Amino acid sequence: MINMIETLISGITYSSLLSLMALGITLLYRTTKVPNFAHASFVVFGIYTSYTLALLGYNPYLGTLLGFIVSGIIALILFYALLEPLRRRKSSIFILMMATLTYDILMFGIINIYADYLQTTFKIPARNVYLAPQDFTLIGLKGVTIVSTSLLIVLLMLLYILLNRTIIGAALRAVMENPSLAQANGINVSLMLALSWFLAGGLAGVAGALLPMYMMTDPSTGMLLIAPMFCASILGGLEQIYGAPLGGFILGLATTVLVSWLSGVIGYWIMTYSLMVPYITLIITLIFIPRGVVSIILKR
Amino acid sequence: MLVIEKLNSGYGKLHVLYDVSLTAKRKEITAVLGPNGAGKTTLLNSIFGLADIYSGSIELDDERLNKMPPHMISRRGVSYVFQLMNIFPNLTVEENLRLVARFSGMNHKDIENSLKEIYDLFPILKERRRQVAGTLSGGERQMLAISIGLIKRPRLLLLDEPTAGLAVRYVDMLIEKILEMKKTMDMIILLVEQNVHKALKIADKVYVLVSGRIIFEGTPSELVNKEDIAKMYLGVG
Repeated sequence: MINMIETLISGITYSSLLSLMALGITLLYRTTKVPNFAHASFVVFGIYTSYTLALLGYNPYLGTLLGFIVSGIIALILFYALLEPLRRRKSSIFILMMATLTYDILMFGIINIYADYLQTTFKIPARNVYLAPQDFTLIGLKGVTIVSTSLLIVLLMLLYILLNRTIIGAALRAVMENPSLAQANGINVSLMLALSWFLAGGLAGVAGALLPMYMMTDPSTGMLLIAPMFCASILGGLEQIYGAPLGGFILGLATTVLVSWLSGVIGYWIMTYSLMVPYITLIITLIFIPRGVVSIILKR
Repeated sequence: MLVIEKLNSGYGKLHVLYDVSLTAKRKEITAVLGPNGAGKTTLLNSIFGLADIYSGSIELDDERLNKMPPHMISRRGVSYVFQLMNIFPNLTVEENLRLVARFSGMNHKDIENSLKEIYDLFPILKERRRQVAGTLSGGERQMLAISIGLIKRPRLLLLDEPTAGLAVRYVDMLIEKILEMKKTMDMIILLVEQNVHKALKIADKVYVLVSGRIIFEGTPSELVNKEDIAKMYLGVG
């Protein structure tokens, strides 16, 4: 029973982190229609931001704020250097998607250079980043559980207020709905797209900054998580921003709690296959509810 | 006044308009007629910064619009009602209107007054104000699209085939409304319309565009008298 509660808490932490990552993917899909593969790098920049802060003696949780800014800027560079010029040339979604993949590989290289620099120059182990030993506990809960779920709730509320209560949010919604009409009515579409890239990058950066408190990470962690991120986003529903946390929690809990429960029922061997959960979920979603779980809720 | 002089424009290497000159005045409806593929929509796109301008000038009240991006042209008081994709389908009717009004820099009082004017012009939209725009009928959508163009009280309203694909009762009603707009609102209306008979009824001035060139400029009655043009290109006369 205690094990099950621990697994559930761990599942909630993972789900919160996954939701933050998926939120950015859905936001970008809604504004630009581009499946962003560079999201993996945005997460990894978050990881190394909190790790660097920890190395410098600061509280790694400060990395959530700095990670938001760093990954947001990394996303903005992608937008202005690659995507916006391509968009102006009316490149296809496929070309834009390939551009995000190319940028991801480039950023993967840069993070590896940074990790190597830390390792060779300062003899600091930078390939297995794990900060859980530095975490705090409160009423028996790990700090990362409290912070990740609280941040998810706060950031969702802030995103809701931004989109529904501010003029900038109204412009963002207009761009999501009909970019040509938005532009025709005085909205600077390019600026709004830049904002959505910054926000999406920032959200991934926050999740990345928290990841070393939860699991062992390295420069390839983003690549490992990109599939679950996309699966959570599609499972929730790409057409609805708030579908992402729903997808994140369903997928996150299925990967952790469901697999753990199944291991007790049919044997531990099933744990080896937990990585298949996102893919199986994705296939089922695409066949039976291609518009995501949120579309079922909205129909009611 | 809108003054276009010797405009050459198109899309990349596709040259569509050749030496097009046109003037349109306030409180008047200027209709641009012509067969399919003549370049009518490209003319509107050129005014609104959505096409490439190779040479010539476009001036609104002596201010040059050439080379301005569409959002800046919009802020200069130009509204463009597209033929298709001209509403925000997942927002309610009133959200559509308020959103555009807010971005035109209007204050709260002006927005409320402008909304009242719109609802007076199209009472059905007031009834439907809380309805999601994507669920409106074709005619109601077009009324909303025109209202989106009107809400910020533009100096120049560009209408691209507002009656295309509508049921007859909506066509007559919309044409009447455009006439009412001309009388009550101080703006230039540039109307591109396939329905030649209807356009000739309400226009003060008519241009006929064929293969990217203006081949006629005059009043509707002068056009009807030019039997060769009216019959060959417009099917009237």
